[in-house]
Amino acid sequence: MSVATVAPAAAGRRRRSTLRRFLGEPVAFASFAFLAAVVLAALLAPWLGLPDPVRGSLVDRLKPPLTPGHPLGTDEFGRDMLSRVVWGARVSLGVGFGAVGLAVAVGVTLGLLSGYLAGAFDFWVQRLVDQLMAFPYVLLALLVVAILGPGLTNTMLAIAIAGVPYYVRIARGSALSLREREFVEAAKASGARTAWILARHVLTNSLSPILVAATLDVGFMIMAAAGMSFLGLGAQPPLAEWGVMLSNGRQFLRVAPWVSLVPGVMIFLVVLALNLLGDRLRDLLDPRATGR
Amino acid sequence: MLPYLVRRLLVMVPTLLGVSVVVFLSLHLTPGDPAQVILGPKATASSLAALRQELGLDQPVHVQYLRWLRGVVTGDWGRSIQLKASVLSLVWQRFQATLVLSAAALLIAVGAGVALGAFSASRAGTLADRAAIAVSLVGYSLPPFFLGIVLQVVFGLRLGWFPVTGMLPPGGGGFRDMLPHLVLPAVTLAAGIGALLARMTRATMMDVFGQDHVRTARAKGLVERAVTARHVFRNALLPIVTVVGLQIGYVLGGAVLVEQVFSWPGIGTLAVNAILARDFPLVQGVTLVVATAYVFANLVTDVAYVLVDPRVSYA
Repeated sequence: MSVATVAPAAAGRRRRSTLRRFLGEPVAFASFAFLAAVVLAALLAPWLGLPDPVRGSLVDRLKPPLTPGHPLGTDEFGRDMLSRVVWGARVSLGVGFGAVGLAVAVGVTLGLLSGYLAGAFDFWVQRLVDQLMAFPYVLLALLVVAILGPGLTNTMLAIAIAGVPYYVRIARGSALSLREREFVEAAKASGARTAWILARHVLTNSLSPILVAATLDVGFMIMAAAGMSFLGLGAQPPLAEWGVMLSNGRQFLRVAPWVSLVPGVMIFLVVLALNLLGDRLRDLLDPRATGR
Repeated sequence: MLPYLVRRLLVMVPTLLGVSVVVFLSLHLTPGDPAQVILGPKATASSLAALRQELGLDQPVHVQYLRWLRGVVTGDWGRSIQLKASVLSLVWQRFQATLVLSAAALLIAVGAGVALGAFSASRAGTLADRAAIAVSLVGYSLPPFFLGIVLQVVFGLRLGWFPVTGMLPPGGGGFRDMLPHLVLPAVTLAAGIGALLARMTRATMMDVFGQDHVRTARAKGLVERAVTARHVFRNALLPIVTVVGLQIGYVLGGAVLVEQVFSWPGIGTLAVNAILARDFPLVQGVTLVVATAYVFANLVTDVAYVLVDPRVSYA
């Protein structure tokens, strides 16, 4: 009993010290602060007093950055770029995080079940995963968009589905090694239900590799979603979304390059920050990684 | 070697059959009547019936699949609904352009990426190493469509060094005329993979640096350059070959985006237009070709693996 009451406190201390080590490095801290600021701005967009991101005034079209009232300039319809970037963050980040969340939820569930249950279920899940992995990622996502039809929600589903096999692999690997461990055997012997064992023992002990993969994947999926919108398959104008903004601005590259550059730089910085955080997380959580 | 190759080729058969099933089923997984999805809400009953018959949708699914597969094997890939032309000839013509772009990008990525990684590893901990790491991190985080636009603005519009769009000058031309058009798209496509390869090369070489045989080589008085080239780099090659192989899928996928930026007449632009027009025979053709190419690329990687590392047995 005493062990049970002491353990959470020790775990809490360990978690705090990991967090401190995680953010203790200046680059990781800067990345985290930048991402936090972008997420906060995205969440608070309706209350920031920004101009309408969809309606603009044609008198103000293609104003360069640092114009009074338009710190990042305006686009071809005279819409404020800062407002569109902030509102666009809601869509772009939302789709990126949403797609990773979906891929992790489905992939990890399937992978844990597959590794833990083994047998025929494992066999068929693995054949399906092998088959999906025979397609390059972008091609698979394109095929799913072709099936479901273009649009923002379908794009999110497509890039999530294309990412599922990756998480099945990771989770299955963990479950395969964990099912033979004593504490899992003990839980099984004490009559715990499979779902409980999977959630309490197998999932919690597989979290590190999944967390690292997911962090690195958010950046990738934000990029993939923006790419789909750039191709005209995802979000549609006049919605403020970074890929759409980048694509629209291409017509004005000679006269107003900022219309494309501003959303492009935002995607780049967010992805860079996520990659830096992912690398840092891997260095901390995966002792085998060569973080040199 | 030959028996190994034959066995690997045989293993590919079920994979390719699986690919064909997924591609075939894609049309049937669309929500609603496929003929209606393709022709849109304004289609007349007679045109719907005609299309159903053309696609064989009035038959049982397994009969449809076998008929479709026979067509694929014998070169009858159906007709594009939007472009009213043979899918196979459309896809094949465009695929060549994608192959040229992908091959050029892969060459640049391997050359620049491995060189940067090796440079970085041999100067580990120095300022040059940190700069190289930063360069690869930036390359890895740049969306290809954004990098493409930046290169267009800087090297195309401002400096005027390279043409901004297309594969050939207006009026056509030969291979030599294509080269200036190839530079910007190939570099754009190469950036992400090159950056990944640089990271990978550095990490593997750092691992090899710490091994006993390297210490022995140093102890017997070999100069550092020879140690790096003969003992470290050669042993780091194996994981590098694997990563190059894995990236072929990324190249083929990334080509879709890069082609769109530079109006490169490849399979990517064809695919996007086919998806927007819901031209399913064409979507299926494109998917089939790219997935097959990917499966073959994986085979080549495995063979290269055997050639690079004498320890990997292919008996």
